[in-house]
Amino acid sequence: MSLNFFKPFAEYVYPHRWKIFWGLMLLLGTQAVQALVPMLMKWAIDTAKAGLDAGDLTGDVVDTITGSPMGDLQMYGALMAALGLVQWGMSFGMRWYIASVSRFIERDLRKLYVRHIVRLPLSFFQTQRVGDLMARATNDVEAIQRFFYFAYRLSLQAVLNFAISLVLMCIIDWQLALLALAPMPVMAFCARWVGQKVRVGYRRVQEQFAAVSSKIQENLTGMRMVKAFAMRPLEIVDFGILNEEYVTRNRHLIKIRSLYYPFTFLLSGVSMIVILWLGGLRVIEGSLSLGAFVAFNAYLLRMSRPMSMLGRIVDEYQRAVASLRRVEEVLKVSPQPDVTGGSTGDIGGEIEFRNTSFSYNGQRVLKDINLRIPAGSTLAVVGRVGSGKSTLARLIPRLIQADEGRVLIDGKPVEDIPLQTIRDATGYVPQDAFLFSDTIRENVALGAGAEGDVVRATEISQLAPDLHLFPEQLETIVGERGVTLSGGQKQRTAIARAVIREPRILIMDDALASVDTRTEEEILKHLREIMASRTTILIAHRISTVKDADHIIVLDEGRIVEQGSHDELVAHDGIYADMFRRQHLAQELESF
Amino acid sequence: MEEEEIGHKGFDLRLMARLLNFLRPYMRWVVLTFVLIIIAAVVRQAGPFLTKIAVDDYIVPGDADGLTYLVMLYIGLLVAQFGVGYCQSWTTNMIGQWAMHDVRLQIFMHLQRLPMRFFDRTPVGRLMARNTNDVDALNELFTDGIVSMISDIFTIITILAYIFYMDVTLGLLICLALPVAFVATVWLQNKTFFAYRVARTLFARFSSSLQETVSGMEVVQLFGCEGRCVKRFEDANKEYLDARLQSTFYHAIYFPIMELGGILLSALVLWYGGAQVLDGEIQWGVLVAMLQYVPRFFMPIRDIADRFTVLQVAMASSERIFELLDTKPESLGGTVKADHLKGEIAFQNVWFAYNEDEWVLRDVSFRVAPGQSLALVGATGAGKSTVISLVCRFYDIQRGAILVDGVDIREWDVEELRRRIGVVQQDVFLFAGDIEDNISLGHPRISRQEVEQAARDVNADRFIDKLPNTYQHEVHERGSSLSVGQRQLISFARTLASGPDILILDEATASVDTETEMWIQDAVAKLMRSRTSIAIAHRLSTIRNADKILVMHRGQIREEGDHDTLLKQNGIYARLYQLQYQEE
Repeated sequence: MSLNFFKPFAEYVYPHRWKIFWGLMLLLGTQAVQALVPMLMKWAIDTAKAGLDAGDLTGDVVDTITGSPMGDLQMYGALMAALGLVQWGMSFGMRWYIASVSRFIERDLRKLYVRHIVRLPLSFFQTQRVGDLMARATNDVEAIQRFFYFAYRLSLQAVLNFAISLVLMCIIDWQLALLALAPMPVMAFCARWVGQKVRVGYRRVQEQFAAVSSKIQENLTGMRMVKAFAMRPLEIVDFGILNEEYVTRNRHLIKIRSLYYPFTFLLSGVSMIVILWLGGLRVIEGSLSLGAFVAFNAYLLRMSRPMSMLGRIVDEYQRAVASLRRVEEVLKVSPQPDVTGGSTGDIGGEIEFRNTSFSYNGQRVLKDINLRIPAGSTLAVVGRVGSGKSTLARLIPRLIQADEGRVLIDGKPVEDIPLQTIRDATGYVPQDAFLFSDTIRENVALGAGAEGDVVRATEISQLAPDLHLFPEQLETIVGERGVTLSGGQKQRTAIARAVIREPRILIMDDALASVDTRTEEEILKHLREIMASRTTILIAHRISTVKDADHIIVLDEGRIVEQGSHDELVAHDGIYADMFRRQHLAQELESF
Repeated sequence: MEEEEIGHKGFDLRLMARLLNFLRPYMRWVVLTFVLIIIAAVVRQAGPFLTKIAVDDYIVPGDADGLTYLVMLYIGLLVAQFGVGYCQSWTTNMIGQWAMHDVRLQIFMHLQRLPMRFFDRTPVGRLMARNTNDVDALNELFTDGIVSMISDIFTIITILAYIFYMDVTLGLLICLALPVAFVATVWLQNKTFFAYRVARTLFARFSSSLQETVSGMEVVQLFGCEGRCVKRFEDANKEYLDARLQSTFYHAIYFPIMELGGILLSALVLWYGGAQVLDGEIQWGVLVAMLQYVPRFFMPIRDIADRFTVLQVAMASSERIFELLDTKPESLGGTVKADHLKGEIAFQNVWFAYNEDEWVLRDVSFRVAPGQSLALVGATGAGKSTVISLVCRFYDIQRGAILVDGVDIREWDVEELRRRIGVVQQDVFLFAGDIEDNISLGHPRISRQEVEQAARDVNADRFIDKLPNTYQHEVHERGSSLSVGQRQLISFARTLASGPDILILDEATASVDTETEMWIQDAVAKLMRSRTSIAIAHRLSTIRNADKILVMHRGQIREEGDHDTLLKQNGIYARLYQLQYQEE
């Protein structure tokens, strides 16, 4: 146990230092009071024994406080009961302070964590698994809480208990005290040895556990394959071997770990024997009183319990430190850089790409894009899957950051405009709309917009005609815990969500893919009305969606390969014209 | 994050009985453990009793030699205690391991039998949790829960036995603690069990709110609702804190009550027992031993209270495990088996839906003669993949019949039938292992020669021979070290090595380099020759090689014939051809 045992946690304990302080004071109090109990026993027994040995129960010969040994006995008993009551109150306060701090730290950490992650750049979330980010906020924070709840208090308690008991034992008979505690260093040494062995064994068990888990994972992921090739018997044999090995490794671990508890009992037993034997001999000699002998026994028993918990304390501490490290890993990621100042009204809506390039995983997804979208105009982007359409759109609200060249809004680099301003001015509708488990109204409003606006937004996005299909219309809860919406309904909700904010810039990233052509036409008609003075970027696969745009660009492998109006592009007879013909065919196919 | 709701009954006896069933094979060990627990309790609690003998028979009378003998006996007892304690810990933990081994195996074997439908619906992560976390919780239930609790109970009984043996009146006095401790423990359980349940529900609430925030981070940031999400999380977090503080409060009351009980009882024993000694009713040793037994008596009682939480968590886990084990497995099919299939497949008015009333196949009928090859074409969602899933009997149809060699597919032994059918999937799944394993799929009857032959036949040898360890080359998860084309060739080799009588091919759409493409085309032609085959074709060459083309549209067969005839019809096929295949 190094001196800075609690140092990693200092920052999180600090706000609750007064609770901890009072907890510690009370802890000290309880330990002191508890340590007095064996002393009272000693005095009581010694007086009584002296009285009995002298054959005098009236208190004439023996030195008593109350006047008779019997009276003294009763007084000590009453004193003990009184001490019990005092320590009861203190113990309650101590536990409440320290244990509740564990809960407060848990809450604080979670709060800190959540407040931090919502400010992280989106690129961070692309490299992390949701499950892992969740585990840090749940399991890891819980491990830290558990440490403070249990091991933290117990380790403090063990140290205080040990110190106080040792002092009192030394006061009674220091030689006997030191002899009785002599096995303790041996125990610490052995515990270390066992601990090391256990760690090695535990690691081997964990490795095998990983092997068993990945076998199950592989089997489940490849279930179609397993079934198609009737691999069941082979898979069971395979799994059986790994499963056996897991048991074998556990057996090795158990062989060592089983030493631990009997061992702690053995050592406290050795101390007991020292007391019984040497202490007993001293009582016979007359150099130790019977009461002192009883008190020694009581002190040892009090020490043995925290000692037997030592393994658990160290274990929980290590887990908590490892967990804290995982939580802090995320807390150390710097939030997306941002500037301050400016307001939404400042955005006019002119967008320009200047030699813009973007790479993902070492692959250049956008190459040297040069494009100016005048404020209030509509730009349509078409191209194959993976041609860079979404990337282009995502650069505008700074969902991603260009590595070369710039993106400008109203002639100003996007990095110089506050994120809040850009995002308030932008309505972005992704292809895969994410809905929260909340009412449709909340999903549309997302905290913004009044009652009438929600209704109007659903009308524009053509969600309104579907509302009667839901049990509670706008108040219907959707998502995981509610009604499942169709792909088209989700997209229309997402459109409503963007429209309600009356954005200066509207970006529809393939947002009409799951909507049928007739509804699409309705939506576009409505949008044209409200978007007349606003900048719109339409990414689409369907020619019908884009043909009326002011300007159309065709992306291929990250470059603009064709651009112009619909008629110009059809006349050009390139990729766009080919797409146009194919969609005509596909439409014919639909009608069969 | 899935909800970890706690079982409503808390302690379900029926569940417990089922759990104990897993211990049945190790009954002898369980009995041994119980015997060891009893011996351990008797030996471990003998200390104060020996002290009594020491005080009364040797220390007070002043017999130093007698004391030395007694100490020798104590040392012997201590060694015995160590041995018994070690054995008990060993058997307890090992029984846990053996039983968990069986539970894991049973879950795994059960999973192998579950229908495809089940896997379509259930996320892999959840099934993983059943076989890992939940099984661990069961282990804890057994070792830290049940066994420790029984051990605690025996400890209490043993202490009472020693106490009563020494003095009945003082014994009765100490027994006063029992009802008080019992009431306090039951009170704590009632209070905390409820608080615990509330807390778990809240935990589930805030973790799902957090999960939503993380999954929907793009929307959260774009629409500036960070504040709202944080607030929603914090509300749940706050409520969780309150619920947790409540149970913390009850615990903070309970444990000091136990401590108080211990001290009060000691005081009572000192008062009353001391008076008894002075009156000459009992000897000093009895008082000394009693004072030592009192704190020992409260330890197991407190521990039992602690173990209840473990039990509650584990009960919820076992409920989930049994729910999985109770899921109905897929039908094993009938008893028809054959060493060899002629390879005739017929669909007769087949109707099929994954979800009720959403027909994916409507009245589909066709026949493939032995040795014939059939190409399925159609737009996405036309029902092609469903047809091949049905031939493998991954799903059962609602109406009509599917015949293989003139026998209804339901009459066939499912696994025997699948063994005779070779499937090449669109998305090639590679197992962790080397290339040879991935071709032989670990089948002992497929020799290395056969593996190499199969690889040669499908042109896979050309790239395998160039790998650093050739057939012993290790493939990683999902085969990321191999190209898409190479993985397809391995999948061909794998299918060929299994020696199927019927070949099912779901061609991958992903494009590969020209050279590999050539090898693949050649391999497909070889595979389809000389055996009945059904292919979902994306290559023109595959379609042209087929004896018959079936054009599917919205779950129905709309056109049938060979390439030239179909083109002339100028219908769906002609459009599809222009859309999908013409470029080649």
